[in-house]
Amino acid sequence: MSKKAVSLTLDEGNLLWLRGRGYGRGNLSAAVDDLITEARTGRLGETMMVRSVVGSIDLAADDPLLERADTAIRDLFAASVSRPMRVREPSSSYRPSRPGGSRHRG
Amino acid sequence: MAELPAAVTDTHALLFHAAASRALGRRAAAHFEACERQQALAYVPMAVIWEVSLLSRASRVNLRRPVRDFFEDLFSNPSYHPIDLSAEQVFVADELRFTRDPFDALIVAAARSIDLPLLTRDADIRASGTVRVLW
Repeated sequence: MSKKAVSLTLDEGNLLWLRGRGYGRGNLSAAVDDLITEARTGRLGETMMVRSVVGSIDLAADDPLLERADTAIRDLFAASVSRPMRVREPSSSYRPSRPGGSRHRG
Repeated sequence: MAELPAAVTDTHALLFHAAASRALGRRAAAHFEACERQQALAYVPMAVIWEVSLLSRASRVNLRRPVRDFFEDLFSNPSYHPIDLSAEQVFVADELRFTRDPFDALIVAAARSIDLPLLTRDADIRASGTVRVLW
């Protein structure tokens, strides 16, 4: 399809998003073209409002500097690998027929 | 387009920022503040997302919502972007010899993969010289 030159004015947030996606160093026209194609084919989600995470979490009161974070994670892994591994082979669906019921050896 | 300041975040740096903690280093805090104003970029390695989920499970951090919702909130700001884990990052992490911590190795490898500084207080990472550090 042929191309047509147009002048664009973008919202700063959208421009920032394009930069974050690495489009800033490449061809902006191609990037916008790609995005419109995605939008037309329904692959883009709905626009989201920005929700800041600042002040939205709590660090453990007894370790606010996370100095024992590595130990906590190592403990999770240690607990995981110390559990006995239960392996069970699936039983075969093939069973030889035994005419006459049970057989006794010897 | 002009280049924006950009960096990769380590786990503790992101958590200090989200907790509004004073433990964050001055330069790291300035970078996150610029991200909040949408004037800088912060990239979040997969290893950081996993480590946050494990710290939440170990009750070292209270996200006050499921880990999925926390990161959906974070990435609602176009200044924050996840970095997908690649095979190349795993190879680079394997080749790093200054640490035996798999998370640190993958986080450093992620920063190297996109050639950006790392927001971290980790003295071993700084001393290794494998990646530029901001704190």
